[in-house]
Amino acid sequence: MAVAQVQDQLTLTSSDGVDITVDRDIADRSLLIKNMLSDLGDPGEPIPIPNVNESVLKKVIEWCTHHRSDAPSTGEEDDNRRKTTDIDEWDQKFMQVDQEMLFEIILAANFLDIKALLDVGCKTVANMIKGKSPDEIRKTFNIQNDFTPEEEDQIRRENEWAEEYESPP
Amino acid sequence: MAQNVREGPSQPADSRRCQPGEESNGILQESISQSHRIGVDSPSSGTECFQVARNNVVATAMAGHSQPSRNEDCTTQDESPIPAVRTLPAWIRSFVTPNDEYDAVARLLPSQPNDAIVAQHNHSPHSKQNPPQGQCERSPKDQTSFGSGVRGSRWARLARSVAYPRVSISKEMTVNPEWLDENLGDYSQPWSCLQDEGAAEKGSLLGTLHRRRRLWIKRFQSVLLKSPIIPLAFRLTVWFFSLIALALGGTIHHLVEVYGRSQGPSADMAIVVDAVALVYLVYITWDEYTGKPLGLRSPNAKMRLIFLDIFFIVFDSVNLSLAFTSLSDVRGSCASPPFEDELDVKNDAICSRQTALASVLLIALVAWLLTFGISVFRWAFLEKGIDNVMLKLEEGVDMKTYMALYTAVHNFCTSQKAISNGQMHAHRGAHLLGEELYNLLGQYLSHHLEQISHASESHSEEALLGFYIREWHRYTIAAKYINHLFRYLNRHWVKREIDEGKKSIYDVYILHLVKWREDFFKRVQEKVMVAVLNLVEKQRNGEMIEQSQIKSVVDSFVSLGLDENDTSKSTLEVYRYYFERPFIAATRLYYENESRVFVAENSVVEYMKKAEARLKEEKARVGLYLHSDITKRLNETCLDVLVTAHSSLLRDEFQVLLDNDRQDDLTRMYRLLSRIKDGLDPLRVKFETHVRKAGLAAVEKVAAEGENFEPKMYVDALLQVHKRYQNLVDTAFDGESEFVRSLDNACREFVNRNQICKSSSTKSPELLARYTDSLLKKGSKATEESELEEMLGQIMTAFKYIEDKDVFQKFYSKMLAKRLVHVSSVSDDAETSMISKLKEACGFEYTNKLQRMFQDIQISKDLNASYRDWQDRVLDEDDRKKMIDPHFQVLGTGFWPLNPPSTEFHPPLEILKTADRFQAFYFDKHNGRKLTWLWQLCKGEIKANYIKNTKVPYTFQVSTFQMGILLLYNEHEKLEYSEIQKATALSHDILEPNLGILLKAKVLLASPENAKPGPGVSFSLNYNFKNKKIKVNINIQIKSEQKHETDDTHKTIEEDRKLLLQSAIVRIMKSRKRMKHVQLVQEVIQQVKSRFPPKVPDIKKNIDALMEKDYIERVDGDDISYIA
Repeated sequence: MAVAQVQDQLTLTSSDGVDITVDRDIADRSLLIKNMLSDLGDPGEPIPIPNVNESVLKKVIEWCTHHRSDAPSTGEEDDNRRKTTDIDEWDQKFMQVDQEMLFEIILAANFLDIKALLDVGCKTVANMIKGKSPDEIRKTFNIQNDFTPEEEDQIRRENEWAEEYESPP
Repeated sequence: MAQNVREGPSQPADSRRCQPGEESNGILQESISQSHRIGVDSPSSGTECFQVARNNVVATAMAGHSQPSRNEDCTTQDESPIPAVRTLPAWIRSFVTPNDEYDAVARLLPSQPNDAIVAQHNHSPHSKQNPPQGQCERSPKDQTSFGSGVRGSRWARLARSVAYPRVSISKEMTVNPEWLDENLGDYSQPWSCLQDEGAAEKGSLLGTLHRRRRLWIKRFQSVLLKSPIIPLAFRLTVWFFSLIALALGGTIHHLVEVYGRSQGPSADMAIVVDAVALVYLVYITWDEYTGKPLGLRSPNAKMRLIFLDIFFIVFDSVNLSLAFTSLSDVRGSCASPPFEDELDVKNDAICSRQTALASVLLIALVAWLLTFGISVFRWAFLEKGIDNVMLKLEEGVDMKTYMALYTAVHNFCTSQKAISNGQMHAHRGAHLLGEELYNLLGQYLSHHLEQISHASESHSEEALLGFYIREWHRYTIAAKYINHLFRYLNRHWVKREIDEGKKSIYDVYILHLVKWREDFFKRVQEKVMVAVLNLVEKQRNGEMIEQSQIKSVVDSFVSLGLDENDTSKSTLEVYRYYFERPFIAATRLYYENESRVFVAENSVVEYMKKAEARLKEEKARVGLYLHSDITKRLNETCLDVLVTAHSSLLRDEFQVLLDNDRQDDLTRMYRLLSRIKDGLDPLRVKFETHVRKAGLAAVEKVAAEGENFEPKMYVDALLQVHKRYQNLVDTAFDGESEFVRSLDNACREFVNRNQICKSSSTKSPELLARYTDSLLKKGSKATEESELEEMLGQIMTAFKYIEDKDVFQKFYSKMLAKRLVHVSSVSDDAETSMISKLKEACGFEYTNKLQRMFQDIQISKDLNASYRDWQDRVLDEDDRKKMIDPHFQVLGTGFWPLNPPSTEFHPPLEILKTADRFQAFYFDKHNGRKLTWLWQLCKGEIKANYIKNTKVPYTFQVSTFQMGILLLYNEHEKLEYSEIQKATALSHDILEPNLGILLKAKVLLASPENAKPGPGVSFSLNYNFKNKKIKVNINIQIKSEQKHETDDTHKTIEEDRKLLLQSAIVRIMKSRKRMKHVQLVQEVIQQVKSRFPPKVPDIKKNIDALMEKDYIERVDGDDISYIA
């Protein structure tokens, strides 16, 4: 699909061949696209995003649009931000999607190199894990228990201190 | 100390009527008995008070300081304890604040937080309501898009590939790998859904066959290509059959020999080929499982392996065909016997074995071919990703490729790779993929650089530089691109490796630089440097060069400096070692040669110009194309070679330049030598000597004029020398303080010790004082105020150098006194300005007396006014008639350097009356003072009414002594010498010259005529006195008097110095109470220095004198103590 290139607008082509036009500064949230544009200049043609399909790409762009004016994070505050599981309200809502989508968003953020989005995604997953018993976690993520009962017992003993606050099994 | 105060003199106004004019003088003697000891007291104790006060301040300040420091201690203690060690990852904080977090979790989680499957439908194409088993149905589809099975395993893999590097070690517990393996198991294996699949099969029997078959093929492919067992199995098969073939070959060979049959070469060949093949197979199998994956080997190694396999396959096939040939060979064992008799039972054994051999060989060959095929496919599969990246790097990049490349890297890093199970298996759970890619990239770069370095061999000199720069630019730009393309690798694998402390793993961009340095730079840097240095030398020789080339080279050298410990920082190590070092060495060599040649062929002056130009050039060079880091060392080197090496030569030239007054060259020399260590010291010594000589020479010139030179000439000579060299120091030597000091030293030397001062060092101050007097006296040439001011300034310059300042003070105050008394100052302003200048230079004490003298004059004016008022009230008519118009000056004894008259004198009656009257008035006003009349300083005017030949009578300006003589003639016509002497009571020394003057002026006539005044000669008035002027000045200073005065002054100087020394000693002892003799002498010298340079014996003498007077006493040998 040939979209007229307004200045500062880019067209991204998802893996399933759908073109999406976004503002340049939104696309720049992705370091991948930003680097590429700085390396190659504005190509004037749709940019293929081979690993991301339309629905996910739209979702990612939605996030980027909301965060278009965020200051680029610096290393230190980045670390601090990363160490908490706090997620701002909009992002929380944004992340209220099914697991499949959540997974895809994380993959896409990882691929497109959008660090903040990747962080938010991973935090969401972390929050899903938090406060759950191993069985619940397994259930949540459909993970098979490949521990033998003895092994499990041992791990539990070694991590007893951490379970202080968890509800009794 | 001086107790007497004298006051005196007078200024007569006009005396109107009678012949004798009048005048008056007042002398006041006051008894001011003030000892110097009292004067000393208050200041010293005052100082002490002050010190104590300061001490207090300091103490408070310290107390103030200690306060905050204690506070700091407190805060340190308050610091919170280190958080407890924990094994949970840092981002899980739940156990710290469980409640809040739990809420947050509840909010965050999908609607049913604890459900196994979260059903949300935001943008997901289809709902996920199926129970867990349902997933497996979708797994084939998932597999196509992500190359893996089920959600569970996908999470695991994602977690592994995007895992953050460990954040902070302090929050983790260190465990060993065994523990991890034991407790965490191995997550590297994909979780497979096989069982579930089986269930699913049962559940939906109608699942399409097609899909199943596809799945099956896929799995088969996957197993075939990925399973590590497959190649082993094939290799083993081949090995096994080769072994059998070898055995068969052996038996056939044996039987053939035993039975003497010819059976063709197949058996022999089988023995040879298989024997080798067995060994090879063992080796290749071992190699495959322990060595590098094929994809990571060099192209040569790959080819070698492939060809070895092909080689064996070819020989195997030849062997096979031979085996088949033997079967059908006419003469072979298995041929259908043409001759019955020849048929042997033993042939069967051979034949059957031959048949077996052929079939075994066939199987082995097939197996080998399969192995080969599979290996090739496997390698191809493994390398696909990497090759994609590598190959496309070489083709240009457009956006599609760019994305494709990035995706390739991404996919490579996230995909689960078969290769990872072998040797990398032990790599704990979270293994990030990327090592192969990284290694391959490194190899690729090495390869590329190898080519470049080959290509570089055909270039040299400037062409090489051009080549180097071109390649460097290309390479760095490419490195930037590739760095972006490999960002994913950087972000995960590289970061992880670096965080784990691996030293030899770098960021992709840095990897480029490292490779460049290791593989290319080190090979060519010498040649490049040679080229660079040649270029620079060309430029130094004056040719034009391409500077940007060198700049680029420098930049590249700088970029290559990588900090081994922190790759994000750069160091200048490489630059320093490979560029700076040879550059400096070349510079040194170049300038060593140049300067040697230049000095030999040119004058030193020329050389200095050259050296300066060179230094400037090199400095500019740094700015043009070198790194500023080199500035210091380059500069040092140049200075060392250009200046230090020739410094003695330069210094030798200094004298010549000074002699010829070559200011520009001196400036240049100063600039050069000032830049090297200790470069100027010898110059200063020379300069000082030179200035001293010049000064002495100038003075000698003045001295040659004879005894009676003008003080002005002398002072001008001094000032001229000083001014000239002051100028030189200011312009050529930049006013540098050390040179100023040398100049001062030299000036002090020649001002105080020269030809004229040979006899006594007090000559200089005396002459200076005289010169000052001549300036400040009425009638001097410098009428302009500003001009005068300037000259006074110059005098102060000379004054600064004078050591015997007290002598100057003496003479100056004497002359000032004269000027004041005779009202002959140019202006009060000039006098005050001079005094304030002196005060500035030597302090209040020095000018105290001078100022008091000034004040006295002012007070005297007021006094005269009030006296006149008083006179008007007191005088009666008679007195008024006889009154003369007097002016009195009352001068404080202590401040004025005046002596009471050396002779007795009976003043004329008129004067005496006036004087008495004033005395009465004065004592009335100030009780208890004593006035001493200084007749010798008094003067007046008298009218000569006896001379008839003019209408207006002549007025004589005379001294009081002369007046005393002349007034005698009011009563007498003719007087004899002794009569005059009797009447005036003047001593002969005074009377004779005064009479002489009167005779000379023809006011008196001697009889006999032309007789010199003396006893026996009589004098009468000259009634025929004639003069052009009406006012005749006969008050001329007597020569002998002048000389006498000078001698006197010198005498008083000695006396004053003694007092000054004593007062200094007492002052010091008073404050110190007790000190060593030597110290005391030192201290005295220190204090008195500003006045005159004291001699140690004098000081000792005065100490002894003070001991005698009981001011101080000697205790314990060397110590001296003060007696309170």
